[in-house]
Amino acid sequence: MKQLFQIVTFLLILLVGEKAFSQNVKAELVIHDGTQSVQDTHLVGVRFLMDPNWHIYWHFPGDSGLPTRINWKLPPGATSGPLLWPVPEKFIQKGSPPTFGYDQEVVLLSEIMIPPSLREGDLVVEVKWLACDLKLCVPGKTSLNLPIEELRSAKNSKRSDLTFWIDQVPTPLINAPFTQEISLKKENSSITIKADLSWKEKVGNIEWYPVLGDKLIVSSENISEKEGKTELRMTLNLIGNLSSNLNSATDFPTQLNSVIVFTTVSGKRRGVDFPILLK
Amino acid sequence: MSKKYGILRFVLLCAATLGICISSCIASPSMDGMTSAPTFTLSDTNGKSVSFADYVGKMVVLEWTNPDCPFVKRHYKSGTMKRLAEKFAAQGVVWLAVSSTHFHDTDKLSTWANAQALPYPVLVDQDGKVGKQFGALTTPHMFVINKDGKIAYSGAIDNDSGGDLETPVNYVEQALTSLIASKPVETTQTKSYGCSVKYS
Repeated sequence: MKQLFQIVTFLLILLVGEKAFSQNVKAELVIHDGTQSVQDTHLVGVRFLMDPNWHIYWHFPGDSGLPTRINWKLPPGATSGPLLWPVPEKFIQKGSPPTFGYDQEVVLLSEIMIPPSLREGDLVVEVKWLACDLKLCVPGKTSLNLPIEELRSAKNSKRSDLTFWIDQVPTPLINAPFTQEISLKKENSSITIKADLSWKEKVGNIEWYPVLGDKLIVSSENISEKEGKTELRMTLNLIGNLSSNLNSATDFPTQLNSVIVFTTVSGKRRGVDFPILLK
Repeated sequence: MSKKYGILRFVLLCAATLGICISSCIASPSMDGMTSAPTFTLSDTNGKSVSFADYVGKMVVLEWTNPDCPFVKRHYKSGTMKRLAEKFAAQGVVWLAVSSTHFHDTDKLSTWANAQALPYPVLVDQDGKVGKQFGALTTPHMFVINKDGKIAYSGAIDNDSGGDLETPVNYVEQALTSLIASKPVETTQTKSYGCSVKYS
């Protein structure tokens, strides 16, 4: 009986180690098929599956919510690249600014480099998220693990084509399908940004996702389109001392990071990193 | 001629004196850069009417809350708000929790307040009018109002949105400590964190 209990416990641990279930969100490890390389680099992702009407958050969630966090713990010698975030969506709650994240499904990717000499050990990833619907938020966390020999196995059932998610990661500005003209107007604790984008191809549904951090809020935003051009107009305010006389040259961050998201004529959502120098 | 100049000098002197008096006597809300807190009246979970005007001359802390929000739950588990409310009550600070969640009624909030044994009232703002007047965005979202009715601090309870820090900086505690000591509040505004306020 004791042996049976131990076997069942062992099997449960194996099962939970690869996937995690918590209310409204499932998380599992996936490996992009076709990333075998001499350098032993693998594109590994955490796939989140959300119940209908529930979402988790982008690395900048907006004015509420909590970023999804992925923390790789690797054997000595193995390294991971930066986390790759597919383009997010906006979630609107009445009376509140939009938040940014993902519903239904998302895969957050990382490049994992394993030295060829490393034959044993486990890749472990600590995952934390906040899942919300219109009424409730529920935190979740789990630890997922993947033995190195399984990572290298071509027949691993976790292998699948993750091209859809790879293509959703924003491209650098240098590869953007637009050219841009940006001007700034600074006034005390606010900056008004005018960005005109001239598109090289026909696109639609243009959205802007600013990474505001703790210091900035958007007080106004307008996106309009006219004859192949997009006009972004936004005013940023600095959060700081209410009664201080702010010197905009020294108090604003050097750069505002953001993502421009658009839909191609074939209906695919794509993104471009769009940094804006504020000084 | 000298008589005319004398009268002119007298008139100019009076005008200057009057101007100095006017500029120093009339209170200007914008001179210290702080906003006056909106006045309001709400009922608490016992049905008692609570009016902000009742607390003229006192320091008041407004805490936007939602019992179902994990950020609020975390702080109530660790006793953050209760500890501060009890600590500063001795110095006359009034603590008021406010719920602007449109689907939380008095019964729901009363059950929660009783279970938490709160030493302060929970005000029911189901239509969200007061929350929107203050610009409450999250739960929690904190407002510290000084004795002059001005918002001396607004924003997050502390600098630890993820609940990771061993010793977070508590902005409300800092603001109250400064106000009590008649010193300027160093951090008057931060970005609040938490769940979005569930307005109707």
